[in-house]
Amino acid sequence: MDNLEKDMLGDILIAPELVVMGLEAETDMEAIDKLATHLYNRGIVKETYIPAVKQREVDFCTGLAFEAMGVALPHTDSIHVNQQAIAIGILKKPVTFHHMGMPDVDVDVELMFMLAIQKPEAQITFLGKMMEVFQLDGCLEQVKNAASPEEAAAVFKGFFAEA
Amino acid sequence: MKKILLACASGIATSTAVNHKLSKVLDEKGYKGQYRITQCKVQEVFAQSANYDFCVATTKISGEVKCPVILGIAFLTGIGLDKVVAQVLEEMKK
Repeated sequence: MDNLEKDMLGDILIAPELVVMGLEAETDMEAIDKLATHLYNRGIVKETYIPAVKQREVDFCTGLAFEAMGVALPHTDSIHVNQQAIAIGILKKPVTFHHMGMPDVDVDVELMFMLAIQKPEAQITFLGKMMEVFQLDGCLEQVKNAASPEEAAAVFKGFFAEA
Repeated sequence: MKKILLACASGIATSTAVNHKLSKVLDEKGYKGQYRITQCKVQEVFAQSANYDFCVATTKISGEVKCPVILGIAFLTGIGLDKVVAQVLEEMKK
């Protein structure tokens, strides 16, 4: 129980098991498929999440160019989610995504945060805070350069305490 | 009372994040209690837009919208935020 609480941020699971380091992909779809499959294999999402999150990325791309680096936030409808969580994918080499709201703009994405959210109306502060965390000095770099999944998850959660 | 429509793909995830930041900015600028924000899906913008003063969207909106639309990506990334805040304040003054 202590361990579970340690891995929760509010009621969202952010755990070392949900951090994939050295994720290798040639395309945005391949990267999304791999991280979504990782969530499915751990029971966090239903199998339908995988095609749904890919289709959502085609319809509404989620690349975001932060000052530190490009980030992608793939997500889809809550009906595909079993447990609220965020998976972190640290890409071995940058993968080109399209920019949110500006599909003609490419973003070299180095970090993916895949959202599995069930009660978005309850997450307003959390989601807003997450964008502020991404803008904090050193946050994205420290997550990206973490030596272990434990460190990546801990660093990410640590920045929430600061924001 | 300004009525602001926030639009994103699902009407939940990114518009929620923008809602948080936009409210904070408007309150800081002294507009607390003088605006009402409604979130919606991008497909609903066309039908809803006539009832709002302006719309902030995190996704591309093409077609006929009956209120001004501001691209609100800067509320997520912080890049170019000053410019977008200026656009929002311009609409608030109208």
